[in-house]
Amino acid sequence: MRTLNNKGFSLIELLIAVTILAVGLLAVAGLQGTAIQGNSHGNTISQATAIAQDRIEEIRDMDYAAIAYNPNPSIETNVDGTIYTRETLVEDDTPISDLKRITVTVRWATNRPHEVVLRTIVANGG
Amino acid sequence: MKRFPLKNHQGFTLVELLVALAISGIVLTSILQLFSNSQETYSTQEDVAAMQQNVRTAKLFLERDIRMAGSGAMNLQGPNQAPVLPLWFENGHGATGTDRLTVAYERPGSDGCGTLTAPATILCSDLPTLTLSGNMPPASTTAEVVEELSDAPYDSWLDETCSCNGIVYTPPNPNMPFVVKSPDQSRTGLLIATHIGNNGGGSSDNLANGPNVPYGQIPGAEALYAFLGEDSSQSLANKQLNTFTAGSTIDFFSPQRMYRADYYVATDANGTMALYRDTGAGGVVIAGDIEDFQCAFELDDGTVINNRDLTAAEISDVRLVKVHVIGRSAHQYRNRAGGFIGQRMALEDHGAGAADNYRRRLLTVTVKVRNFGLN
Repeated sequence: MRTLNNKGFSLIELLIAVTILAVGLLAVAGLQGTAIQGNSHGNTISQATAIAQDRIEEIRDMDYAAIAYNPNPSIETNVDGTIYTRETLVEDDTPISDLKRITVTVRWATNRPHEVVLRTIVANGG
Repeated sequence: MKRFPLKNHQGFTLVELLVALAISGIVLTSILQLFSNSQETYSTQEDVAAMQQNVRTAKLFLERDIRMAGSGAMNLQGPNQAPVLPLWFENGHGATGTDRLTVAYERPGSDGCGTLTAPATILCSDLPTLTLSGNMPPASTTAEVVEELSDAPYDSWLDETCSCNGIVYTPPNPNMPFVVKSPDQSRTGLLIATHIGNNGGGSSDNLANGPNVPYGQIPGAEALYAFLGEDSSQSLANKQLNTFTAGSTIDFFSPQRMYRADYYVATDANGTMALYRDTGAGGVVIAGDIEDFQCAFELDDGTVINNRDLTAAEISDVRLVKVHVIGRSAHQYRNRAGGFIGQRMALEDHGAGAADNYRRRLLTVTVKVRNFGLN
């Protein structure tokens, strides 16, 4: 006949088990936070992209000669009262003459820094 | 008490049982709590993701259409001499103070005349381009063309019946819509060819655009008057071909080639507000739960208009269009103490809404209308 161990668990053992279970469950709960952050990050990227796009559209509306920023790159913080910093860099005669390369970078920081970069090239129309 | 090494017949004491129950009670309660929290977070985040998706979709459609506004349709003059506008704006014309915006442009790369319809022998979109010779007085209804219409391929204007999307035009009196463009593209006219004439080799062939053409005489007129925003009882003034300069090009025009999208917010089948797009076949929901749609226009002199309709004169001066879209969560969040407190934010000329328990997302985008102010 097989030896049976009929001893139960001690309270200490039980408490340790419950603690481990709690830690595991809290980790699962933590995933919820990640999901929330993911959604909110998605929204932040959409907004940042729109803010970068706005600047490019504004530049497209300017005369070629008037496209210049001082200092270059120009940096705006808290664009329209948001968390975003927008940097606009104009490179004259790049990649060839009569073209300007515009680089708009929108940065923001949550627990680590993020950025959205949009580039366009405008031509000298006359 | 005697202990057997193999069997323990002792049970639990009441105290042990109570302790075990208490501990499992605590553990189960917290697991339940965790579950219900997760459940709530899950449904909230599903809602939030859907809302963000809606707002982004709305933005995507709007910016793409606004960017194209007027392409191939700037300075387009209809057969009644009224300009065919590339953009309309009606302030506060949608549901509860939302705006209404319509854009029109020529669909790129679509000569789409579909398949050949009997008895036609050629698709109208395949008719070769004709060139105005410009040697007739403006008052004349017939205009001479440079090409010899008895020679291939130009003879297809004269000898072949053409069809476009099931509509058949038969020469020599096809009553066929055509588009005429001045060489520098500064003027575009939409006219009706009432007669195509061949004067024989050596003499100039011509195209007539007779005055006062009733819609009833134009094959497939429905698409045309829908495009021009007129009704079937009207007739078209026409007769402007000779006001175009020599070298202007003449091509068949299909109203299907023009794309027109009308954006507005209205209540959808679920009873909530949604963004609709109407491209001529009735409004279709492109994004649900859209609570506000506001536009602002910057003109070439820097004036910003956001609180009234644009006049016809202002439309061609528009340079930047700014659109705001507010999406709202599908549900209210009031289950927790006090609930989630939100409010529709004030935008342009539309004041803020009352406090409620909805979540909201706002996306704003500015678009330069590329085809405006080129000439």
